Order: sequence, then structure tokens, then C-alpha cells
Amino acid sequence: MRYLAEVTRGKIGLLAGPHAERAAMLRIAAVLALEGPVSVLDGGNSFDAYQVARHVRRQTPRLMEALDRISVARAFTCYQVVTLFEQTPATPTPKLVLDLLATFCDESVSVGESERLLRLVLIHLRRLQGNAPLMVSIQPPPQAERSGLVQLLRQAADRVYLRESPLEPVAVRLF
Amino acid sequence: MGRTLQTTNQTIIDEQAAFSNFRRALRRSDQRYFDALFASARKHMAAISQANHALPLETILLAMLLEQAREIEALKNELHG
Amino acid sequence: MAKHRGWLLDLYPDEQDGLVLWFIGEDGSRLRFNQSFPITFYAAGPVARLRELWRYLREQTLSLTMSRSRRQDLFSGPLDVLAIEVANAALQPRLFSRLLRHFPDLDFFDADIPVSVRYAAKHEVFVLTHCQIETTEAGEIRAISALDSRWALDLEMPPLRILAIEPDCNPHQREPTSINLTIAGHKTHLPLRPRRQLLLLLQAKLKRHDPDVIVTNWGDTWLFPYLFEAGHKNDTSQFNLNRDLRRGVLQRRERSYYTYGQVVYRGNQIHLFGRWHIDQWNAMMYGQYGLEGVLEQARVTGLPVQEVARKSPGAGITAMQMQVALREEILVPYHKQQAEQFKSARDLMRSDRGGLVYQPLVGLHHDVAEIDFVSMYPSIMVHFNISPESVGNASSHIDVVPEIGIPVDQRRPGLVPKTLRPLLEKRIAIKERLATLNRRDCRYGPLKARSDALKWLLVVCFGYLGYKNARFGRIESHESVTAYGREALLQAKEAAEDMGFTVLHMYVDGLWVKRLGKKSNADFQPLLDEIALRTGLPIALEGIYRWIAFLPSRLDARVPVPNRYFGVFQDGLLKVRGIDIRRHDTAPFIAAAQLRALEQLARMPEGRSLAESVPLVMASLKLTLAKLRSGQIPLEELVITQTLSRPLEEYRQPSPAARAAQQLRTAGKELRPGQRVRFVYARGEPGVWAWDLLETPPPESVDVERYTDLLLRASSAILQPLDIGEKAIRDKLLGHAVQQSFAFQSAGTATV
Repeated sequence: MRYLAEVTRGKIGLLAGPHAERAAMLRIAAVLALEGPVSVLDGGNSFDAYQVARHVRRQTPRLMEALDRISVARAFTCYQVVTLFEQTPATPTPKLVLDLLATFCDESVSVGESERLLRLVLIHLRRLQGNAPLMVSIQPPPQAERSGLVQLLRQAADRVYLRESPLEPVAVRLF
Repeated sequence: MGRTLQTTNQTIIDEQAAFSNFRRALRRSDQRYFDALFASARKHMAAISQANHALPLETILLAMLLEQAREIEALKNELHG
Repeated sequence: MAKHRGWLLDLYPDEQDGLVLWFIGEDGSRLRFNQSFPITFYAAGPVARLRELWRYLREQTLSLTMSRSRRQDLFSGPLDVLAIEVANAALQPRLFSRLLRHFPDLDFFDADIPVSVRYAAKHEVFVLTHCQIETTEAGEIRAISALDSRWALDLEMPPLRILAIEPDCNPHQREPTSINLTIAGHKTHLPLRPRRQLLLLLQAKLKRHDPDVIVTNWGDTWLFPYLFEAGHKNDTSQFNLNRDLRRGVLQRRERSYYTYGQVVYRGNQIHLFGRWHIDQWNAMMYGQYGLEGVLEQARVTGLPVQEVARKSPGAGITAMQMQVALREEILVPYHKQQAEQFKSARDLMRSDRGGLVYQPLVGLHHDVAEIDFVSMYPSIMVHFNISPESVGNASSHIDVVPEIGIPVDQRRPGLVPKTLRPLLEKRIAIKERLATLNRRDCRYGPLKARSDALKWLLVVCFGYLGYKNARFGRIESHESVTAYGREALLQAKEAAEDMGFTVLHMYVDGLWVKRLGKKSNADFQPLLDEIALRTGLPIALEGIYRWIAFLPSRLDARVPVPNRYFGVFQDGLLKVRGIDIRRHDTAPFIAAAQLRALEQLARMPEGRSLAESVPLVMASLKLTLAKLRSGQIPLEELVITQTLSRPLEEYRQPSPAARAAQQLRTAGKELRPGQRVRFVYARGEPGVWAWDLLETPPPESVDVERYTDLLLRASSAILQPLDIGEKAIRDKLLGHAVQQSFAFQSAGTATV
């Protein structure tokens, strides 16, 4: 969780790996919720609240308060992802974006269209980063022709963490 | 839109799996009680799901206790009459 | 001006004529008219971009008019839009796809609504609606009005002329040599060669009988493509299956696609103009409810018959919502964009759940009533006004969703309830009429088919509330419906327990209850009334079982599983869920054996113990087993059908279906994901023999052991509730046979 300390206000962290680093992202959500509010934008139908609850409970008996500090919203198509970003206010609350590219790899959406939509998302990422730390997780698309999506995100991110080796254990201080 | 949270059935499987080290260290004669406890909890999946407790294991344990209570009562009835 | 009366048969856009409409006249004539039918759609976005769009459209050669307009968006209210009216309906789709390429950043509305749906919304005229039409001498419609309603139960219908065509064998297995034609009870047999002669004879038939419907076997995937190719090669290019001879047929290529997490394969399609083509082998729902059901669905949805026959009912629900939106002048978005509102992790846990499912009390029970909520989810949507725009909308008059606590605006009926109410009422009315008819009555079958067709629409409309691409879907409304559903089921349980009943099982929208001494409809009526009173939802007695057996899990007998049972109603009717006969991948002889065993149990007279029928059941299973092991079961009875779930390359451990598909590929037959594979379990590698290979498997290659296991498993599902376990069955049935087959196998090994 070294990257957590590095991704502060004004910064965008990009975490790429298998399963869009779901386990790590859920752990980050839990750790953040111990301290204050956190927003989760779920693009991959992957926010397993039970896993988060287990992580939280290991740290504090005040489980429900922590769960209430996490706000989640899901998007199930790339069009909905854009809408979701549009309706997310630029608050100082740290934001986690889970599996951002999942819906952008849908074959019913052309490559050009998916890149156009992702560019809209990038505008919002920049809008949001000014006020709060942002951590985005992705699973690199299986289709070679969609690798441009990853490039776009890499250019926008301040830190890129490519998962190859197991992540180190959770550090306590965050932002 | 698929569900995001896992089903109660999967939750029970996961919780049981989380104790696989515990189970492994049990004597084989005791392992079957362990399995039976989890099997008995499954009779109350609807209630476990409906409780929608943030830590499902607590509800699963309660379901096991409930089945134990039922069994005790049944045995009592048999004994007394 | 000429006046006509007749029934609408077909309707489609045409570059020359705008819109072409075919009618069956009251005098039996088939009439072709045309009508001017301009299409209006809308664009919204930044003013500068709309101006660019305006300039772009002005440059287009096709005839259109543009205006600024203010229209109602379902969610955000009034919206300033550019209205684009295209004079010719046939040209709008191409224009729209150009706009999508050039202006992908704009939001489009009403842009992809099927013409028949627009027509239905405007004129209340649907397929087979009885109409009064005024036309010019040139055949242009000037006025049209409906003489009946799609919601009417009894409709006067014209007799349809139906031509059936089928090849003499399955063309995907063997090369057919002839085709059989049936029309008006007459059968004709036409050899496929010489092809020129075939085409001429067929064309003559079409001309003479002029059918309204051509029902085929493999017309989409083999017959028609074969005929077209023959037409090209033999210079009979005038060969045309359409009634509208000015048009060529419409061909849609095969494809596989994902929906609801499942791969669906759609074969090549051939659509006709002026008459319908229905390929029974490529019609998703046709098998479920036949032509009656397809017509019912086409009528209530406004979709073309040829589409309805081939598409899932989801398209139908969308079409119905579009009609309501058009009538109410609400914009129909091209892309659904509603995202979820933020909720806390705790609220997510509360709301992200499905229907309530109880584990049954496993075992055999007598005098059990099954009570079902009638079309529960649609009823909830209508009763509690669940719609994407009403849920989460806090107003002066709200209802609060149980468990998840979100408000639902009750001030005016939502778009979804408005769509569903007449559909639900019609279904209930048909069901009520069905209840008064004897199953053998000639009106029963067609009415049942219509009821089923409506049921499917109602079933999918709930899924569509949560479906990611549904125009008027929204996850919060989907979650609200399941929350109300769980609450209703819990209220039903409490009502039953308050009145002294034992609740044996509950499954989403139904409950199974019993109470000593209660066994007539009247005995359960007070409970039904009480549940209806507490929940506000319609409830019905599905029936009273003489006995019903709830089964445990096949993997762990201690664990009860929902929706796995069989039972016999008081009228002798069997109801079975979750066991082999209900599965599509059960070999026919196993399904037959299981059904026979069930029927033997069902025939046991009331008052006698079911155990008395066990010797009979055992004897008949033993006979089946003996037949299997002596090779007397016909091979086709051993065929297993499974669906290929992904491309062959993606299987890490190929399933039997994948292995069979691999064999077919080697033989030059390629299957796509979502297609069905048929095979027989065979000895040795690869363990299967694909059924659609040229050669059928040699009888001695059949994996008898595997089929024996499958049969024993199917038997034990039936006998388990009578306390006869799989081991007991195995010992009893197989005691002798096992040794025989071991001897056989070791003999085989010795020769290797």
C-alpha cells in the first residue's frame, strides 16, 4: 500500500492488474473508511461490501459507522460511467474508481466510441483530482485494439502501479 | 445488471472455506461435526439473507445454534416421551 | 376516395412508397396500400454543436424539415432539442447512423423506434387489427381507424393462408433430396433437383395459393438460402418468395451475442415482405407458444410478426414502453444513461438482493396447497407505481420502499406501470377464462398460448427494469421491486402462520402450506383472502397437491435446496421442478424412465401408501436398465443436448459439449457459442460422439456405465422421498449386472 501514501490531493493513481486489483481496492476502501468518508465509483460490478466489512471489523468495532462513510454508485455501461462521473461532485472526499475500463471493453461499443467516452471521463478525473486524492483501478483490456484506453489513462495518471508481484501489507498513514 | 454482492449461498461457502485450516487440524472424527454445522446453517439461508448483517458469519453461527436448539428439544422429547 | 375494411397483415418502410401496408380485406382479397409517414427524431446538446448539426443537415439531399422544440425528458424534465423530420420513413435509419458517426457527442432521442411501433402509437393499429381505411384511387391511405382494440379478449380474425415447407431430413445432418409442402390440407412433394424445375413449381404454388404465412423447418438457415442460390445459378432471378414482388427478401446474418451473462446464438434470418416467414427452428419463442402466441405478442407490442417470432420478449416490452412514451410525448433516449445514485455501503447491502428463497422442509408431505402471487413483480410495479422516474423521487405524496427506505412518487402513474397495467389486466382476464374451460376444449389451447405469450412479456419486464441497456431501466427501481416482493412473501408467511398453517417452502412468489384436515379449495380461501388483504397484491391458489416431495441437494443430502420437487395435484396432474426431466440436457430415455416412475407414483389411489408402488417402479426401472445394458435403447434416445457456452479455444478443460463440437470442427462443421451440440457418451477418448457427424456411433461404443449412473441418479431423485437411497437402488437394480460389466471391461483391458 505504498502507493496510498503517494497518491494525495491533486494526484491520480492508476492501479492495473488482474481482476482490476479488486482485493487491494476493497482493502483501501476499508482503510479509508476508518478515518473518514470515501466515495467509490464502481465500473465493474465489483464492490463486495462484505469483504470491506470484514477488513473494517478487524480494525474497529464501530463497523456500521465506517460502512456508512462509504458511498458507492455503480455504472453498468460506459455511457453510464460518463453519467456517473458527471454527477460526482468535486469534494475533498477521496475517491476510488473500481475497474474503470470494464464497460469500455464491451464489444457492442466501437473502439473509437469507447475512446471518445473515456476522454470525457478523463476530463472529470481532472476536475475531481483538484480537491481529493483519486485512485483508479483497471484490468488491462483483453483485446489488443483496446490498448489505447490504457494509454489514455496512463498519460492522465501521476503514478502508475502495475501489479506483477504481490502487494505489500497495509500501511496505516494514508493521505 | 448483475448483482454486485455475492449470494448467501456463496457467502456460506466462503465463510466455511475461510476455516479450512481450522478444519484440517481437526481429527477426522470431528471434521464431520464441523461439516454438519455448516450444513445445518444452510437450512436458514433465507433468514441469513434477510438479516443482511454486515458480518454474515455472525448470522451463520446463530443459524447453527438454532439448529442445535431444535435438535436438543427433539432429543428431550424423545427422552421424556 | 375508396373505402375498405380489413385486417392489417404487414407494414414496412419503402424508399418509393414511404410506408407500405398490406391488408386482408373482408372479402378475402389481399390489398397493398401506401401511406406517407414522416419520422421525427430529436437531438440535444450544446447550442454550438446543434448549430453545426443544423448546417450539416441542410447540406443533405434528402427531404427533411428542422425546427427548434422543447420536449419532455423522463428524468430531467423539459429539454431544448432540435427536431428533425424525415419525409420518408425508409431513409431515416441511414441518416441517423450517419449522424451517430459525425455527432457522437450529441444525445439523440426517438431515433431508433421501429416504424410499426410508431404507427401503432399514432393510429392504434397493430398486426391483425380490424381497420377501416380510406384510400385514393392510387392506393394511398388518407385515413385509417381501428375497429377493435388490442386489449380486447375476443377478436374477430381473418383466416390466414398458411404454407408449410420442410425438407425430408435435417439439412445440417444430411443432404435433403426433396421438400414437402402443405397448404390447406394438401400435401405436395417436390424433388430438389432439377433445381430449375423446383423453382418454377414453387413459384407456381406461391402464385396459386398466395399464402400469408410460410412456416418452415430450417427456412432461415438452409432452405431459403438454398433456393436463392439455385435461383442465381439457373437464371430464374425472378424467383421471389415475397408477396410484394417489388422487394427482395431481407437477409440477416448469423451471430452470437451476450445477454444476461449468457451467450445466445441467432441463426441467419430471412424476412419476407407482404407475407411472414417463420422458421420453427430459428424462432426463439415460437416453440413456447406457437403462432397464436406470436400473433398475440405482435399485437400487444406493435412489433412485426417476423421479429416477434425470432426475438426475446425483452424487445417487446421495450416496444410497449416506447409506445407509451410516444403517446405521452416523452423522449425515448437512444442510449440509456441513468447511473446509480450514490448510496452507503450499508444501504447497498440492504438493497442488492434478489427474491426471498426459503429452503423447503425436505421430504414427503400430503394435502399441500401451493399459493402464488399472480405475476408478482409486474403486479408490484403497477400496485406500488415502480418506475425509473418515480423511484427515489421525494414528493408530497410518496410511498416508502420496505427495507431499503427509498421514496416512490405516487402523484401520477409512472411510465412502466402505465405500460404494464393493461397487459397485466389482459393476462388475468385470460387466466380467469381459462379457469372456466376444460383442458380438452378446442378454445383452451389457443387461449393458453396467448396467456403464455403475455406471461413472457410480464416476466421479462422485471428484468428489463434492471437491464443495463434498457431505455427505461434503473437499478433503484429494480431493487425496489425485489424489496416489495420479499416483504409480500414475509407477510404471506406471517398470515399463514397466524392462521395455523405450516409453511413448507417459499420461492420468490409462491408458498407451499399445509394444515391437518385442510384439503379443499374452500379450506384455503380464508388464507388467500388474508394474504391479499395484507399485501394488496393479487394471489391465486395454484392447486392442492395430494402429495408433494421436496428434495435435498444432490451433493449433500443434509442440505435442502429450493425449487426442487415433484408432486401430484388432486386432479392427477403432475408438477415437477429441478429434476432431470426438466433439464434440457437429459437423455430422452432417462427423462422417459423418470416420468414413468413419477406416473406410477401418481397413479397410486388416495389413501394408499406410496410405498406400495415401489415394487412396480423398481420393476420398470430394472427393465429400462436391462434394455440399456443389452443395447436395446435406440441411439437417438441416448442423445444429450448441451449449449456451447464459449468459443472452443477458450475451454481450458473442454466440457463434453466442447469435445463434441471439436469433433464436428474436425469434420468441417463449425459451431458458434450459444449453439446447441448433440452427442452420445462414448467409451474411451474423447468420451463423446457428436450426433451430427455423418456416421452415427456404433452401438458397442456407447458408454453404458455412464448412462447407468445417470439413470440411477435420476431414479434416486424419485425414490429418495420414500427413504430409498441411491445405494439401495444400485444394489437392488445392479447387483447382478455390475459383475457382468466388470467382466466385460477387464476383458477389454486385456486386449490393449
